[in-house]
Amino acid sequence: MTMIVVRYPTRCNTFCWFNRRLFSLFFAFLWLSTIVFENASAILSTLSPLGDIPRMTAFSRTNITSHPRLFSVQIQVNGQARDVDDRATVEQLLTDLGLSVRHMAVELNLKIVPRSRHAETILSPGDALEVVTLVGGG
Amino acid sequence: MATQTTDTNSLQVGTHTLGSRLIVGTGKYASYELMRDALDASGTDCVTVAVRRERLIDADGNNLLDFLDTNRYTLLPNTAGCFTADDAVRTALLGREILEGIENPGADWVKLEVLADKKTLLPDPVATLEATARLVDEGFQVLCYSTDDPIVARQLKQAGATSVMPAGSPIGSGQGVLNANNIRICLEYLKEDDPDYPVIVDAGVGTASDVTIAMELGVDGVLLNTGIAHARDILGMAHAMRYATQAGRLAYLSGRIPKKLYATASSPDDGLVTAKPR
Repeated sequence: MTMIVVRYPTRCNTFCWFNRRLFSLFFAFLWLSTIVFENASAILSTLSPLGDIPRMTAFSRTNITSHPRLFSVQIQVNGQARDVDDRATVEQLLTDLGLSVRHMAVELNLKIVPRSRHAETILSPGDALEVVTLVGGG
Repeated sequence: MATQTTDTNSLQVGTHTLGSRLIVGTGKYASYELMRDALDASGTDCVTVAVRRERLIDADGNNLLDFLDTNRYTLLPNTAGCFTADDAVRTALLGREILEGIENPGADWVKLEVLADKKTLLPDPVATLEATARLVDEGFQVLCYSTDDPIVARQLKQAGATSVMPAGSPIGSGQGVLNANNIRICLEYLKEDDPDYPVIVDAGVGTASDVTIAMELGVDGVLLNTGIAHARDILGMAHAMRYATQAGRLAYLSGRIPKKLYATASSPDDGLVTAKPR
């Protein structure tokens, strides 16, 4: 932690002390909030009755922070546990799995993720993903 | 006769016009190449497919769709292996997502199968009814795999099924049409005031004559898989099934003679050179 020292040209001691605290608190809050927001949005989205609305706001999360990924998240892919990078998208996962999207359908927590939204759909901890294709059948 | 033959082979199911009354499954073939050749030999232009989890490990890299000309065949995704209405609806939606992705006309229909029992693979009529209504609400044209029970068949139609597909006998059993009279009653009930309503015998046919018998009853089409895929000569049987379908349809349209207990001679009595027994 670096100390932020700010000088204030003020005559009132009490006010000065208060103001300085407030100022550093504000920065600390900013720093924390970027981390908390990332994960909170994922957690909140699973609790939210609106379900996938918060998770779809991919760009709001990517715009807020530019620091390196801090966490990986565990999800289920076709019933198997799998770790993916925090903020990984459906599209990235399919690429990592080496799957051609042409023959796939993806379901996230029992809802279809249309192909057009693979790139913007971010995976959250505990997500259950199904990746299916067509096989021979009668 | 030529125009009648063309009519004979064309099958209308909902908004889909098929060039053959035979719908063929894509399962159980020893290889994708063999499947492709068998489908070609069968003359079908509509094939069923199943929706399954992608193999994440050990995937061989081959996909069914690499061996199916999706411009030639209308794919009919099934919900085979589903034992609840929830799973069937879920599977149907996934199938639609894939077919929309490859722009196949089959994206708007589904072969609904909700099974009740692993040993017989007989359908669960209650869950099938529920799933039919839900899939119709989702905008699907629903082709219902059913038993040959005429009452269930009628209820499925009332629930909005585009086609009812009674089984001739259990899936893959090769026993043929076990209860022709039930199929007859299904046809009567389903086509009452609606002669063009498509009824397709799905499952159980083992050889060409089974297909012909089904078609002669007046069903609009036959759906089969194992009868071809497990024949000793797959391509030979695919050809046989193709012609059996056409033969049965033509025979149905042409009208069979009534069955009589005693013989009626085909050669004239007049002009006999021999003495006739009294």
